[in-house]
Amino acid sequence: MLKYAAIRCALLLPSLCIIAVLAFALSQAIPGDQAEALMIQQGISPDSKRAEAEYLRNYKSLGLENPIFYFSVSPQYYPTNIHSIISREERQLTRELLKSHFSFQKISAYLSARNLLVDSLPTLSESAGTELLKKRVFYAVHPDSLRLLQQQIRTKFTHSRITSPVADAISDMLEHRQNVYYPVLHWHGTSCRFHLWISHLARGDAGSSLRDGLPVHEKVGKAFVWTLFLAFTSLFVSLCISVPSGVLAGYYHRKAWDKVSHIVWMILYSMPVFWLASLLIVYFTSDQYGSWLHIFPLPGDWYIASGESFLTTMSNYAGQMILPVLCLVANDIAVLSRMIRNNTIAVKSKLYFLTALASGQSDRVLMQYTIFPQVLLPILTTMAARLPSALAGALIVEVIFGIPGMGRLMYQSITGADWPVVLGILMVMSLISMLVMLLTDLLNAFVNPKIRKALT
Amino acid sequence: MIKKMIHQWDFWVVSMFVAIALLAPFLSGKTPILCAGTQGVSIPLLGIGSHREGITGPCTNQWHLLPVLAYDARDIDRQSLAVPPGSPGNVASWRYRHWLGTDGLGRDIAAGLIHGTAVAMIIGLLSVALAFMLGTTLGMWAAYSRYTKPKASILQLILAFTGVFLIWFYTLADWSMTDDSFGYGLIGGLACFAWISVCFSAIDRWTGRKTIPIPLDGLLVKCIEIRKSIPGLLLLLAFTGILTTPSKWTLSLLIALLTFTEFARYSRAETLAAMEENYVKSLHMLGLPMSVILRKHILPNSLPTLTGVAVFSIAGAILLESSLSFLGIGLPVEQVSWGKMLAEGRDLRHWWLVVFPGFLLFLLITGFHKSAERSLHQDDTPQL
Repeated sequence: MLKYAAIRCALLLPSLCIIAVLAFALSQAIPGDQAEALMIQQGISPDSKRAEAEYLRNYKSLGLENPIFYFSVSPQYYPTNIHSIISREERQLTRELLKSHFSFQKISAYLSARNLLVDSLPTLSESAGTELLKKRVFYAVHPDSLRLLQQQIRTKFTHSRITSPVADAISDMLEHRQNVYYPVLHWHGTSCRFHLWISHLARGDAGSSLRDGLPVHEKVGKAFVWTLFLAFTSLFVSLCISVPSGVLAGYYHRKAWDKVSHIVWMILYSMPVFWLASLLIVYFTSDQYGSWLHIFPLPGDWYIASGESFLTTMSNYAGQMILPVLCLVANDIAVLSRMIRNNTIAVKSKLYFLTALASGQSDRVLMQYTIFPQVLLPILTTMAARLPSALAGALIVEVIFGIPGMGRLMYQSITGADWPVVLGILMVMSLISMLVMLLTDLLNAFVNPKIRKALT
Repeated sequence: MIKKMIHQWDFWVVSMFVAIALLAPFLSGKTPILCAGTQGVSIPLLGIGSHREGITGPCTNQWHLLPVLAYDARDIDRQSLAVPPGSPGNVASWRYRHWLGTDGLGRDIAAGLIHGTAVAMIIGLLSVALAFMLGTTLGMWAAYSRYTKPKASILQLILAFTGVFLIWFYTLADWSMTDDSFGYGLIGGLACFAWISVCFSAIDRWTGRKTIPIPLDGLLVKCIEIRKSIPGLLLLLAFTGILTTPSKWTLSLLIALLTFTEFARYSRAETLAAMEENYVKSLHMLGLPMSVILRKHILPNSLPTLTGVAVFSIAGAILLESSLSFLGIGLPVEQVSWGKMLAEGRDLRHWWLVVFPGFLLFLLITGFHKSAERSLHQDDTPQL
């Protein structure tokens, strides 16, 4: 048993590693520049004077100058690490120029000559060709436009100390185009973004949010309390309703209650969570359709005041909690009561049940002492299997009712491109559901002698 | 079978939705269905006939047949914003009335519902079809690999990996300026497939004796476990963050990629169960090839279960898409969908924007669930 548990625990690690790699790849694949996003979050417009310096500072502080993974594969004329070019403009230009198969050495020579020219553009005498030259210097990336720039410099701006190196660099670049290319493996070692992220994560530091600079573990922890509270409340409520309903429906199989409850739960099950939530919000939280319908408070500010105990806070929110819990429960009740009903029917065909029945026990005793303990066990597995979907259902409910839980945090972070938080949540969620699956397997083995015997 | 189905309400619900989806342009829109006049008969909606001037507007001086509703889902009626159903509104005649009201932009709800049905059905059916093909193939193959015990020599593996890597490097990776990335991707994908088949079939005969077993089944189980540990909606949200413009096609592809593990799980279980049966054992001993046994014998026997799962998944995929639209992330702005209407209704507290699309979604899901339940034919086992 212990050996089995140890093996299962050890097997968690590779799965978690794979999830970490996948989640990280996902976060790196999003379009957009993280440093720029952070800059905008800090309230600095990209046009302001401080923008350039601030961008560079963010770029370095986010560790973006490091390569993404431990190794990379690229054609031979590519730089080892394109991210080490700190200037944003230069990096984008290099990317574009590399697509025309220019070698990186020649590109950097061209770019340094071009930068000199750009810096001294204001000093150039105003003439008919200068405007065109400016335009071409800024926008030329395609080989044809580069050739045009080179021709213009050769014909109009000869013998200049500033312009002729550009023309020379262009011709050098065009002559050494790498039309034949082969893959080269670059090994970056441990100074890569993934390694930095995962090593920090292993030490318990998941980085800080791009939106407000708070540490990720703090944000996720705060949100987690709410989600956990919501999940446990709804679980408790749904068990309170579904266990009696399911046992009764199974015990009086094909009688009135079985049929009625089946139809009602089926309807509730098929109701999309967000429809139910929208209906409840539209009808019960405003005066628009009559003040007598305005029963529940409008879902509004949810925050845990510092210094207040958890229970006091929760009792303050009890009124606001009713509608979200109702939405979450609707789906669970259907699944659970159906399962319990089927288990009850299965128990009814067992011999020990017949013995109890034949001994003349009342219905209540039979249900309470013979059936109830038997149907509880399978619920364990179902609950664990439904945990991911329960968390997803909580996402919509949290967003609709504005509860600051994990789902809402995830939603806000994805729409706000706050990738450190998204990564943190993904890792926490997968870890939790894996642990829960593991725990239920172990518990099942611990409780059920049959499974335990099969394992050892 | 059809005779039996006619008496079931869920059959009618599902076929009604399919019919609405198929006939959406005939039910609502500005383009006439049929025009007859001096120039002869034409069907502008299908682009048939010589009718020119009336392609977008009504025909003039001619006999014509118009769609039932005078509005398309995207048409904006600035005169009537947020008109509740039943009120005459600010329109010229009864033909232009908004029977189910309009939304905050002045778009007709009834037209939106009809075109939303089409979008929902396309996403549901397409994603499930893709997921079914991928998942069932993988699941059955992985399960059957317990019999066949696929092995590969080290040379084979090295060849396959290098080949796929080189194909990726020269076609799929974007090292140069290409306009036709889809074409390159297609060629690359086909080349990868061809190369892997060549590696594991033709080269089989002359590679060395030292082979290592490939744990196909174990890999698939691991894959399913990892997929199951993260909620689908979260993954979908994260993926839509990458796509700059998710269309209904890319969205169905994404949903298919996220849900194929479900089909893999069920088909694997079904195949494993069938492999315990004597008929499969004897077929295997008779020396029938794997593909024949899987296709002709195991697949037909596990089809009832798989169909049930598929019908469930259609409802699930539609629900996933509308949840995404409801959150305001999924489809582009101009694409009308049920989820978006619901979101607007919730924000504006307009009951007609919440009740109608939500009820259609509910009806569709109930119908699909009921028919899936019937297909599974298991009255007393857990099925919800």
